[in-house]
Amino acid sequence: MFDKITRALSQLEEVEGVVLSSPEGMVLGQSGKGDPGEAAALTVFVAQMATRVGEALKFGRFEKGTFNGQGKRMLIYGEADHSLGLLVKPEASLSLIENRVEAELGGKERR
Amino acid sequence: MKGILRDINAMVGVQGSFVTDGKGEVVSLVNESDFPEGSLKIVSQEIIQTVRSLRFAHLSPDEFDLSFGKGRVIARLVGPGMLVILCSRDINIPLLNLTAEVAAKRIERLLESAKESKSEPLELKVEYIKGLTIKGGQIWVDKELVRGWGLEGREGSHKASVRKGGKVRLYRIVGKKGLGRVVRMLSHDAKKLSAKEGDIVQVYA
Repeated sequence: MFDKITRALSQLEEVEGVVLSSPEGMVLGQSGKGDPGEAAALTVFVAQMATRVGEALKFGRFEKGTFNGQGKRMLIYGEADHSLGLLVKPEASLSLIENRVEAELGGKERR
Repeated sequence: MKGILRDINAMVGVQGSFVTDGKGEVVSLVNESDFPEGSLKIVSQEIIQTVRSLRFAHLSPDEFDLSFGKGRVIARLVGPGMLVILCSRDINIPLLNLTAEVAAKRIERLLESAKESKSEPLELKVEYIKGLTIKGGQIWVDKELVRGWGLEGREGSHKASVRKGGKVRLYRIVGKKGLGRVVRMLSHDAKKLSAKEGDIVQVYA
């Protein structure tokens, strides 16, 4: 199932790579460019930081985030049992990708 | 800097904003929604530590946008630190991005000018001109004088000029915490000034 999600998302023109990882950073599924282990570590690392930030501010659960830098742009989704990281082109329209991710993850996946 | 943060906070949906230094310390803050200071410190340190770690992994993030169930956090690199904006989930993001972009540039300019002013000569008033004694090729001052110059606890190197008679020499004041002597002159400079041990000179800093 995980590979199906990552494959579907990596088909998007503006997505260069997709990784789905466990909270411990294990690669559950991957597709596209990039070292999956490294991408998973990055995804989990940022998701964990965001979770602590959300707790400190009482902003609730971390849902998604982006970070940009050095011509790279990463879109990260936090879930209770996994995190999804997408390496996207810097000029990509995030709203289109986000809609597709929401559709792929599906309502039952998201809390 | 608070003025810039107030401008950001004037935008509908912004709940607070702050600037951190490169160590994760909050250096300026406008906290409209009364977030506990301890919480802001945690946020500041988490973000800066993440930036540092990502740099270690050869990534240099200059912007974060984090969405939560009940809020959103935007962070942008400014100098060695970050500008962090706390806002509601439904904020107008394109407008916030424009506001943050302008604010980040203004803050960077402010940080840059603050950095430059640190290396500029101290503009001490005429009443601070003091007599100093040269001992062993160095100019010595006591704590009271240091305090009078406003240099107490101010570390760093500052330009100054010393005049003895009609001669003026440029040299540097080295400020160090807790030291009674902060002005040093190399012996060859003292020689050029024809200064001898026990001479009284005047300093213009």
